[in-house]
Amino acid sequence: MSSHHEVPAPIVVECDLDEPPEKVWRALTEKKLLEAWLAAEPAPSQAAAPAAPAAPARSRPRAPAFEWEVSGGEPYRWLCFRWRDGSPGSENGAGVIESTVRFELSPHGSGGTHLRLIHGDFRVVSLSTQTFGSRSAHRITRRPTAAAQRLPYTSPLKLAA
Amino acid sequence: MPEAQIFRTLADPTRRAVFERLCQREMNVSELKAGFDVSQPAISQHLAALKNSGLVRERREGRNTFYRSDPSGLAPLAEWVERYRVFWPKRLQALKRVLKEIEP
Repeated sequence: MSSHHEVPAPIVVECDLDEPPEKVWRALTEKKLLEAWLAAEPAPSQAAAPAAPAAPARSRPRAPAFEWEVSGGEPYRWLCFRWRDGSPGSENGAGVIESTVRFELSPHGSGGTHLRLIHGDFRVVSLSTQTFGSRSAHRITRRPTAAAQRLPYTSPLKLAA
Repeated sequence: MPEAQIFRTLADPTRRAVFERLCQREMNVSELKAGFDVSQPAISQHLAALKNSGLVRERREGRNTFYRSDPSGLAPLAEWVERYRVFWPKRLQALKRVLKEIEP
């Protein structure tokens, strides 16, 4: 049974990019570029790729509804987002889930970047603190569009009962 | 948003410990209390919160009530995390495409 009921372990995703950290940094910090990959639907070519068979409709949970805000960083090295999940006002007083998304950049190969993404530190915040403060000049808020919510998210993970 | 409620319910360390003990076997309140340095009413409150979130089930037998964790109550939480496990690789694929389009 052990670990099944522990707070979810952080999600870690790593990849190698052809572009240097300076360029990746731009894609993480310039609003237009950031939204182009973080808040957009996959390009049609991507959606049509044969690699990911579509899940049956009944196993599609709703797509994440989220907003984020920069909470720290060091140019070309790392960047943190405070991340919130959930639609305000749609819960029964349970609050929204807040978490931390951290991007770590390091030079890789000849001029590329190794990117490590860590999404963790999951916690619940109350409804009264649901909206991000306006103190941050870097505030970026985005809710998925109706189109984005049609993405075929799957949920293969089942807990051992 | 049941996953937020589950997160919140398990955020309390004592409640979490109650849930974990009841994963091992079924117990009544006094058996359960023996492992904790808190009052019986406090244990009962934790049990009520766990039941309310679907994490613990109770079974009555005569005058006794027995409690047991229901690990399947964690499913919404697992699904929530799983959405992001699917989400991030897709987004990083999109990042790769955006990077190709940035002017030097």
